[in-house]
Amino acid sequence: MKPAISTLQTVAIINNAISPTAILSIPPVVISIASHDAWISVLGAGLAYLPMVAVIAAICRANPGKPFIEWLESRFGRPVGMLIGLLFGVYYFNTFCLIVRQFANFIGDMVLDETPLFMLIGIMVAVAAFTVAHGVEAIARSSFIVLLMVAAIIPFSVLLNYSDINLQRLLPLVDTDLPHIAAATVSPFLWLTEMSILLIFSPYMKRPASFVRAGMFGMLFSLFEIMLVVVMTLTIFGPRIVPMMSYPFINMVGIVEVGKFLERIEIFTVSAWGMTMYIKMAVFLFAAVHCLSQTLHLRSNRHALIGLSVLAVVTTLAAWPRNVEMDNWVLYDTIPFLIVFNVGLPAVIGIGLILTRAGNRAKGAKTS
Amino acid sequence: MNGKLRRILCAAALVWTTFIATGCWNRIELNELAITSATGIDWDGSKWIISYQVVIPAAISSGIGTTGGTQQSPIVVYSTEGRTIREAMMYSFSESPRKLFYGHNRVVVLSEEVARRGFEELIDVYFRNAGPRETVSMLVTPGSARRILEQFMQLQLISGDGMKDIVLSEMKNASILPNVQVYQLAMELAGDAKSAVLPEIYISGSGDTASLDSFKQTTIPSKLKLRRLAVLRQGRMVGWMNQRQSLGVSYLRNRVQQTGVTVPCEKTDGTRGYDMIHISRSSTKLKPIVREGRLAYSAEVHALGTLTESGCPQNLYKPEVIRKIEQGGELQIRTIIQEAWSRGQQLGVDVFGAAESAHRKHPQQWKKWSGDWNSVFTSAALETNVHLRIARMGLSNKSFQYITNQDKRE
Amino acid sequence: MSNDATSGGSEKPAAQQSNSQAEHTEHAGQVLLPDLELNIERLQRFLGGGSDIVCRTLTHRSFDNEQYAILYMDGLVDGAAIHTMLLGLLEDANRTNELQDDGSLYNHLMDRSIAVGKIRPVTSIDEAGYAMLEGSTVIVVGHSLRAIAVDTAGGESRSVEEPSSQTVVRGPKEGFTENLRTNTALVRRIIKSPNLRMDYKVVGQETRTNIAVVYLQGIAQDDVVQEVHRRIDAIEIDGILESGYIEEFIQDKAFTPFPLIQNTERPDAACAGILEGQVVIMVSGTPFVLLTPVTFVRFFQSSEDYYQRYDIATFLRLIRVASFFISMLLPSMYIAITTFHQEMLPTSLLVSLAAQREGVPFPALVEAFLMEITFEILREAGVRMPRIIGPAISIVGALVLGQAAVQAGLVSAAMVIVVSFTAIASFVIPAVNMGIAARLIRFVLMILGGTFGLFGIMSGLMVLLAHLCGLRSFGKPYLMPISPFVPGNLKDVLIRVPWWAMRNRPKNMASKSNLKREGSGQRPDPDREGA
Repeated sequence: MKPAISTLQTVAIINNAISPTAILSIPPVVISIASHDAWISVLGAGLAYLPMVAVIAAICRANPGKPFIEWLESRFGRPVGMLIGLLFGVYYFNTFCLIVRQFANFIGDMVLDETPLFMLIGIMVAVAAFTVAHGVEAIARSSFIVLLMVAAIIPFSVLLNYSDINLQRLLPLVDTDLPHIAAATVSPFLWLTEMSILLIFSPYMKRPASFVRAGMFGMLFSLFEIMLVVVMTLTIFGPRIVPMMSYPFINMVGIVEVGKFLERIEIFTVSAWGMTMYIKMAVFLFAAVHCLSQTLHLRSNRHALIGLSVLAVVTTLAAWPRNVEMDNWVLYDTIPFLIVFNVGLPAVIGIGLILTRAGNRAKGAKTS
Repeated sequence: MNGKLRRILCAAALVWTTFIATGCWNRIELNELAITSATGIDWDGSKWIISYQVVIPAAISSGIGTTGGTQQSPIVVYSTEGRTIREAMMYSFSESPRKLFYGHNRVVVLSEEVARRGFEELIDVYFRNAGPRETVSMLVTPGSARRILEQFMQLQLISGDGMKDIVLSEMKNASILPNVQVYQLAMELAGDAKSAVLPEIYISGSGDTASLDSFKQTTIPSKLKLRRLAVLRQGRMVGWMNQRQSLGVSYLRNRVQQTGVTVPCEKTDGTRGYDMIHISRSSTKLKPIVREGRLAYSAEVHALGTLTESGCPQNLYKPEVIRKIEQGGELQIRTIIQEAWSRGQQLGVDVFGAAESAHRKHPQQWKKWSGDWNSVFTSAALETNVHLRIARMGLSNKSFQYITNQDKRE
Repeated sequence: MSNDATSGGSEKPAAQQSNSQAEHTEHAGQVLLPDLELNIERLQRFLGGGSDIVCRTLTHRSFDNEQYAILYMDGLVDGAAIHTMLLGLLEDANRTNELQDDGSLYNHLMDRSIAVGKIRPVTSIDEAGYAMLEGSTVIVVGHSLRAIAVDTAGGESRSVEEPSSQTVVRGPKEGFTENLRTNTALVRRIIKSPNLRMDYKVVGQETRTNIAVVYLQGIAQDDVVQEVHRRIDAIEIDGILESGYIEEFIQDKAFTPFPLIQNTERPDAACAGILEGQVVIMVSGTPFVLLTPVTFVRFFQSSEDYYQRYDIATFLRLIRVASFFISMLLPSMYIAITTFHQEMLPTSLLVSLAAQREGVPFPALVEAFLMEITFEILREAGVRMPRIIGPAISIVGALVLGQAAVQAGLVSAAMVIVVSFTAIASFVIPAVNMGIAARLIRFVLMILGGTFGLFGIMSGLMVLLAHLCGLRSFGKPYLMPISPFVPGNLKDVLIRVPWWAMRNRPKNMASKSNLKREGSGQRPDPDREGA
């Protein structure tokens, strides 16, 4: 039976592929550049990314329902398909390692500072691999449940922080000069490009007509979450001390004090957020395994999954000896990667599709 | 093949669990913790002296259950010193049998010396480490911070907790001094005005209440009390504001939750009496106005109160009598605010949020002002408008003096 | 497989035995011979000649004093039915009748003289033997190649009693029994629909256990019914003693702590399932019937939810869901918070917990394990031990292990509270097997919580979530109305809406073409005309 995932589940996958790390990393970066106009930058990034959603949905629609790499091979021939598949596989694998390390660093910084990093990474990779082993449907379903949970938690956290929010801190509007606001859009824009994961998941969708809707809503919901966190950190802490914090999102929950019994509830928020992080890891690991096994025409995903997982543990441990290197990598070194793989490659595929379609049509005309 | 794979995975999982079982890296049992309830920071000119008030759970728990007093002191205080704050904390391991735990630290008491020297290091420690909370309340004391931690408190076994309770209850019911948490302080010091305030705690009375024996009497030799407001500029303390001025600051910052205002009135024999109005709600809008290129401010206060004490013969059925008391209250509040404003200008510290509001309202001119905000602020005039409404009279409509003096009048 | 759906209530094991009967090669094909003595002897040899075989030979006056024998297994038959039948036969045997057209005693007996409703011809020794084993009486006729099996099944069995494992305050007090026939009747008495189908099967080469697959034609999904048949037919085992045997053979996934098939002892619960499109599998010899397909949320629904008013039912259901999470998470949370995240506790609570822990020699994890395992032992002892010594165990358990352990400083009082509360919470879940699942998971989470704090618990929950999302029950996603998200079915998950608002059957179980359950606009409204 061909696995089928619903539109809502796809929205959840896309959202969980973007927002977990975005809400962690974006606020300090954006706010340090654009000060209290950071939210305008985030909004701008969202608007700027909208056309890309259409492009990716169009590529998805051109796919008659075959797995992504297989389809590319049938369309452009074996070598091109293999090349793209390998590139994507390496990219998704890389991103997976990055996410794992980010999560492990975070947990280490926050609570388990004495626990060896390899234990944390081992557990994370194991959990992600376990989820992936259950197949795309299980990922999609758990992703949806986690999204439900997040949707339930958002109003609570806004309510709990309500008394600390001072909307006046957003004034005056457009105080930062436009170049800075524009510069600040880069980071949220790049995070939104992760939406291209839809390329991998679209063949499994029940209703192929709803690619645009799924992509759009997934992207918009992530944008909403990022906006919310940026606006809340801004209105609670003001633009000056947020850039100093590594995880303003956590500080924000950390200052909640309701009476004398409800304090320090950030651990719970961290746990809920951790679930979204796990889904993100599972999504990217799935994408990596999928690309690899499709490209190499492996019969079973399982061996690829185990191999990649072990490799990921080693890579994640060895690639960044210091957390700062990892942070710099996330903020600066990944920019070309993200652009190439999430914007460039889809664009190339799109162009290729248009060209070959023209070719196909011409051929069709000749034969008839 | 699949079975083999499964067996390998199972073996791997088993090896993994043995790893897990041996290590409990961050685990710390409750009876390995020294729960710190308050921290004191002193500066001896070259080194930090950090004092900890540590709770002794067994002593407190037995005190809850049994009726008699506790034999053992519920808290113990000790100090360590070092060139950095964390260095001092590190040396605490050489004298404490348990690991100091800052998660339940309620207050940080700074000595005036530390406040005058500046304590950016402390704020950095709070933001860098996950253990201590950013929601700790900060207090300044004129003497040594350690001595504050050594004091016992009435009704509260853990005086660190008690200090926080006093600050919170004072903020809620009298609104003279604010509760300043570390992250708020950091925000203010990093804000447009680069200034902040901290409440003062001091030991009133003679001697120390450092022994449980003090509680065998009805009067304890000394008490911890809140008093003035320490004013900080650029991270350093520059002076004090008295209680009236502090209340004025609270009004201007719109921090008044509940407070009172005392209104003078005239008795029948011509001497002065006082009415008391309990302010149950108050809101202030501080607006920057640009007049002929100069910056000025207008403060618009709307307060709602209840008459809780009448010290003069007054027939409160008459609206004009009420109006008169209201006007008296408005005048009082206006004076308090003006006093605070001029004291702030005298110290050269904008603790009123004036810079932020100017920045918000006039972003263009702000760029000019921000270069020399201090002189702009010290020359800015404040115009105060107070609207006080006595909504309720309490349970009596005429003052008692009015009743006793009635026959005289007739 | 021929499923005699149309034959309704008639039991026809013989038609479905072919494959399992082939095992008995030594007796296979042993047709009856026209020799009464020999037939009786062969039959007795086939059955091993136990003392419980009753054989009575009669002579019929009208048919040249032809002899015939009545054989049955003592204890398996209904004494009254035998009595009536014998009376009729004796009376008939002593009467001189005019001869029939065909003139055979067999036909005469078959058509005119047996005072029992259900009879059928048998032609071989083993067929006759198996009929006797099922409680039938076999009449072997002297010169005939056929014998008659008369259904006189009965004998001692438990009467219908109140179910002991699933009690309700309000609702029917009947429970299923060990007798398959009684059980099918209990269901038929509730659902008097001609569409109610009962397909019979025999499973187990030695026990030859009767199984009934019960469903409503048109409401149950056809593919599910076929799948149930396919999976049951594939079972090859010597004996089925309880429905648990069947459950383990037909569930979708072997390695999971969660029950993928529901069981109940209550006819009303079984009927509610049938009405929503579930297929019920009844097994002879056990009061527990199986319901499938099932979803996770089903295990939190008690049949009482539908008898009490909806607001009460909703409240109770929320309590149950909360209890499930408490029983799964509370000890691990306690361990994680007190050994990793002490800052989360209010100061006064932390101080009092710390005071209690003074002098406790074990780490919280070990302490919790100690108490949890003690409790599990006590619970198991409570179930296994003879009823009479029950009070002794409770005294030892409560006083010695609880209070004395705290006083001796072995465990902290808070831990005893946590463990007891967890224990009580685990009994709130209406489905025992789901409660056990929560208990098993609890131990794993305790280890995770004790080594990695809340991060470990979160990782454990993520694994659990992925596992649950991957589970299926007869092809239906286990977490159905939640994920995949079916908004229409949420009316009966965490909350139960009033009956007049639950207009459709659950989409995942009932047949897609027949979802509507009730008429519209039935909300009580005193102002409506005619009301």
